[in-house]
Amino acid sequence: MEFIKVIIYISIYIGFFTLAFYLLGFLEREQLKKTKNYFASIIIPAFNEENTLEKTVKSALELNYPKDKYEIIIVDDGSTDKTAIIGKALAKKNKNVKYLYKKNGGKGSALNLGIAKSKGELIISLDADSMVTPDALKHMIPYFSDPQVMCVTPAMKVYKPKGILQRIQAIEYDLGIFLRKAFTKINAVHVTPGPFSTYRKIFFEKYGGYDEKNITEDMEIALRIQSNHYKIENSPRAVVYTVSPNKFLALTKQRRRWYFGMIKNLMKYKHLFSKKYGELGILVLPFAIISILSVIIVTTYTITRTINNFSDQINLYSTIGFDFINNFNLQTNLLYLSFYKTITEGIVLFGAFFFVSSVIMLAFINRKIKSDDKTSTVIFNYIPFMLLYAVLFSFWWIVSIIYSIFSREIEW
Amino acid sequence: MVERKINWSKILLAALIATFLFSLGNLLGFLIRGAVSENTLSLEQSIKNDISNLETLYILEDEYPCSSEILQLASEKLDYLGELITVLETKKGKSDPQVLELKKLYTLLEVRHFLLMEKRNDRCGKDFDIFLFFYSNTPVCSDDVDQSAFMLTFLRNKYDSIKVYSFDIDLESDLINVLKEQFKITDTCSGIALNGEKVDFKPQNSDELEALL
Repeated sequence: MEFIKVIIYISIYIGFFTLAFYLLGFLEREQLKKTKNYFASIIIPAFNEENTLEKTVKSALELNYPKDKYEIIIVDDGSTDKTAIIGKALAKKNKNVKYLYKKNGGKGSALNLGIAKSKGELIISLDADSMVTPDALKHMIPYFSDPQVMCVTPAMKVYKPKGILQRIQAIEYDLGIFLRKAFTKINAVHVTPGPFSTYRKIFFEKYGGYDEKNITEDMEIALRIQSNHYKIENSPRAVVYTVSPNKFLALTKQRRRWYFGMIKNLMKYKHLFSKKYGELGILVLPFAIISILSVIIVTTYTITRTINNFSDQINLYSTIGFDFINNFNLQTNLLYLSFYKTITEGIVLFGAFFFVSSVIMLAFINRKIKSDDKTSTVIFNYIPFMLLYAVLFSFWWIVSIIYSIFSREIEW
Repeated sequence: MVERKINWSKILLAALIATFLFSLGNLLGFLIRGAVSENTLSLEQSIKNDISNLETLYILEDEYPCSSEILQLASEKLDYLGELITVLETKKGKSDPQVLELKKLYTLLEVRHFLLMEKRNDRCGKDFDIFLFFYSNTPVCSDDVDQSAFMLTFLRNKYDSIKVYSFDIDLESDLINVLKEQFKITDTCSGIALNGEKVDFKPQNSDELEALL
């Protein structure tokens, strides 16, 4: 058997194993105790967010939670657009909205200023390009009945996905809902995303604020919580919508920052790769690295092979002066031959299986979180995801690894 | 502080599910291949039937060498048989004894068709340009063979007056060896003869072959 086929089959087996393992966790029932309504401080770090800030704040103001039990703090990180005007106007109009201005210093420093000025027992980070659904906080609070829980993460969805790139991200985010919930069952959540992750303030007081030099501070804080042996929970019904990049360059820039940040953070917290940290150390983090490497190897191989085949075809057609018309001859038996070759290829069968099972799983997740997404939309979005995601994912990872090797600096 | 315990029973259960799904996928592939293999038996039978039909057509063609209808029918049948044998070769492999046997029979039919075509050219005025293409199936020759085969297929598709007969030189066939000797084909990968003469250069494009017509 070819070496690459061995890699593919091993990856498929690992894929089945992780899917089964996470699914077993996802399906476990959970019982939540009632708890008090904590006072929460929602911190919105904003840098040049004139287009989305107002929507974000309005969604937070419409939370189905006692109005005297939360405050909203907009931290303007030295914006040069109309963010300041919008932020000040919102603060003037709503008594539980505060506006703070600081010199540009990055998202971590903006969040730290917000924490320092906050009154809440809970700290909620909310990216200025995200919109929270009214019941989100209500769904998250019960998880804090467990004193070991230091953070509760929401379910993130792409806001009104349009175009191929946003549709691909919509599926990626939906799969993330499943993964994050499954990870909580083995206490292995390793990213607490910027939009609406909710923390106990006591954690920041005890272990310090956000790492201001870290470009993926949300991953750093999650790994820090794990490193100190606390729990991170997830509420799949606490839905937050985020505006995702719709241009290739903007998306690549975002992913380069995420993946480069992940490399740096995993190096910083390499001690987590240990039995001492349970399934996070022996399964989740190692399998994440194995799957990234196998996707890069298989995709690079497939692309190289496709380019070679294409170049062979170009060479062949060049011998007949690219005369496609005279070369056309429909041979039904040879068409049948191509079909036969395709359907008897094990990899194609497994691909079809993954497609069907993923669509069923996503439809199930959407039903569970009471999303409006129809199954037909899921299928429609899943097709570009299936065709392009591996290529994009590998590309972003290769770029990030190169950046990491040459230690280029990346800003948020 | 959380007390972390590894849930080995869940890991084992996940491994069992993964093994089950993986085996199921492979079993499904095996069953599909099996179902298609059964189909190859009927394919072999169909090839054998077509061979006898073609032989009858050859007798007719010999009787009426200038009839274009019989020639057309025999040529189509021969091309169709070639395609079927390619399908069978892909399914059962290049070294399958049944495939090799059918290829030898096919070679015989090709040679007979070729001889009838030559006779037709002599008796009814020269209508057809006849290419004989000798090729090796070994992987090291694939680039060279693919290129020549592609150009010849193109010419055959472009001009109705071109006939191409392909012979696998790796087949242990005395008939092919005689033809190779007759047309002085000494190349290890591929060689071409046109209208009874060896093409003594490696054509790089179809224009070079067209210039010989």
